[in-house]
Amino acid sequence: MRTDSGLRLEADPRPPRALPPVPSAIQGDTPLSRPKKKKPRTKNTLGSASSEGLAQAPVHRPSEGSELPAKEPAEHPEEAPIQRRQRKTRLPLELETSFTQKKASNSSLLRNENGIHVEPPEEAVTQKPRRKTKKTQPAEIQYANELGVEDEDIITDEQSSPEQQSIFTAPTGISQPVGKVFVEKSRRFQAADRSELIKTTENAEVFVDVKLSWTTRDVALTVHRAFRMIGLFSHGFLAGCAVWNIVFIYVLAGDQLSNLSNLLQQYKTLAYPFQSLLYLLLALSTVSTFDRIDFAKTSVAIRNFLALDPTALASFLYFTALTLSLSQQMTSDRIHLYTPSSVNGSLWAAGVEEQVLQPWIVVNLVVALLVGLSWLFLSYWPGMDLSEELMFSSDVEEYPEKDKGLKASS
Amino acid sequence: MLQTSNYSLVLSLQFLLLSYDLFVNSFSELLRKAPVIQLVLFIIQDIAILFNIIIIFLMFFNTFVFQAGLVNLLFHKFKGTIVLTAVYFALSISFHVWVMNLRWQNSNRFVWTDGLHTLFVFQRLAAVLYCYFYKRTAVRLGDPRFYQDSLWLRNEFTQVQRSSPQFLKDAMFCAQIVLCTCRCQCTATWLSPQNICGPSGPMSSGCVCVCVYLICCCGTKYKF
Repeated sequence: MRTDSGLRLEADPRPPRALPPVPSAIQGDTPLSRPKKKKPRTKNTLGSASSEGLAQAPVHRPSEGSELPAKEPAEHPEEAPIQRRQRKTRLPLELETSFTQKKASNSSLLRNENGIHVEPPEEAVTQKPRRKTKKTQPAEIQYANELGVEDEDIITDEQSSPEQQSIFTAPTGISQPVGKVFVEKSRRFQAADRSELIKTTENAEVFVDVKLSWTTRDVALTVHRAFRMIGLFSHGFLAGCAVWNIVFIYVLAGDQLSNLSNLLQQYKTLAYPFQSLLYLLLALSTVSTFDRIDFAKTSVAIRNFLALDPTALASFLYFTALTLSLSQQMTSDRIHLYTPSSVNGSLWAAGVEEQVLQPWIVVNLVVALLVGLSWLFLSYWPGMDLSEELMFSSDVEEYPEKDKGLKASS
Repeated sequence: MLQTSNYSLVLSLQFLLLSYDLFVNSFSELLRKAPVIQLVLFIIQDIAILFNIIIIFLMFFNTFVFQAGLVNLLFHKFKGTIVLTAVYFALSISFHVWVMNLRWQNSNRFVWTDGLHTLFVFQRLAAVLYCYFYKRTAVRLGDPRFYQDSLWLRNEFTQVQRSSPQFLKDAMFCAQIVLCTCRCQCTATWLSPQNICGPSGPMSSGCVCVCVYLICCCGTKYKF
């Protein structure tokens, strides 16, 4: 009884092939033509086909020995073991790929795919290895295979079969290979191209994979980190620029600011470009430090500032430096438009130079000091980023269990 | 649910517009050989800010929070960005108009006054704050929780409702009553039966009706 059930499962959906009394000529022909086309498929789709065959061998042999006609080993004594092995390897594949067969034996097979075993207990021994292969196969391959056509599903030898069929057997009909799959859409079956359907399902799977791996949160996090890197660069560059600028100014101004006209003449082409660059770098650095202390959450920012957190101090210093730098815009434009006092319509009357330039130099010195100090404070703890922690981590983990509970209830 | 590719595209566009804004703020003073150049730069900058405002509002409309009708929560969360963006837009337009007006005849002359300089400083400071808040909002809107129902969302909504106190709403209500009463008193003496009943009195009947209705509402609410 146990041996019969395994074979019946295979034979039931397709009576012409599996019925025992079928003449040996037909039986011998079909298995011989199969291995050529089946071999690559079994290798591809069933990675563990050979091992499975080995596992199944002791189980299936007695059943085949009892059910298969005795003529077969006599006619092909050498091919018989090969056929058996091929049948064993083919068995799970047939279950997956034959579209019509599935409909016939849908209950047992679908349950197998889902991993639920509902067959009688005496069949458990034969079903075990089959279930193993189902688990190892990825789901997408199964679906893709379902859309494929096997040659054995199509009966082409209709000339020979009517002769051998008895009068009482039901006519099997002639099936032809059609490159279409009939898909039910809005309560009607519509023809769809099989290859296209396979492609679309594969594409959808790839898209799902990509979607799972790369979310909007990841995009946001990447952009945030990229901006932090730009900010980190701008901190250092700004500090260097500011120090270089103040050194340059003092060198041009001479001892005790005695050579201010020289400074004006040399520096006038540089004043406005440097002012613009300073604003750009200060803006980037300020935004970057605001990001680090999560300035939008005012309570956290104030607490950090009162606790003399280096990053909070740095952001305050940057903002002060920015304000001071902007306050010198008018003077920078005046330097940019410098013409000697002798020239008509000059903005620089005689004796005004020191009055205008001295505060400007002092402010530049203060800006350089603030920027340098900020850079030092930031370098004390360069990895700190409260925005990332508060925006992307803590808020998410705040209610994870509750969220799960809600999803489960809904 | 927000698609990753769509979000990436929108975020790129927002950052592009922000970068342009920062670039013009930094280097517009250098690029003033001809007034037309600066004019075009300023116009594009203002349009860029406007585009950024439209994009951020479209992103708001796309959230589940907005579609569920919790506009108050959305406004509470991003009010800094909304207010600051509006302020910056106004400051930018003001400054651009002022500067272009002064420089249109001769772009290479000294135009600074104390008022213009003050406006310049505020506009540039607002630009930095706008950049920070806008960037933060754009990045935060990538959070998938804004696009689906969750207990976190419900909790946030409850917190927002708690944080806007009842006395504020009551104060607004009382203010409306006081305002209406004052307006009525300007045109008439105090409520009198003749005035209320007589359509030809100095106080218009509509105003009286509103006033009586508000006082009745207030009476039922505060039990007097």
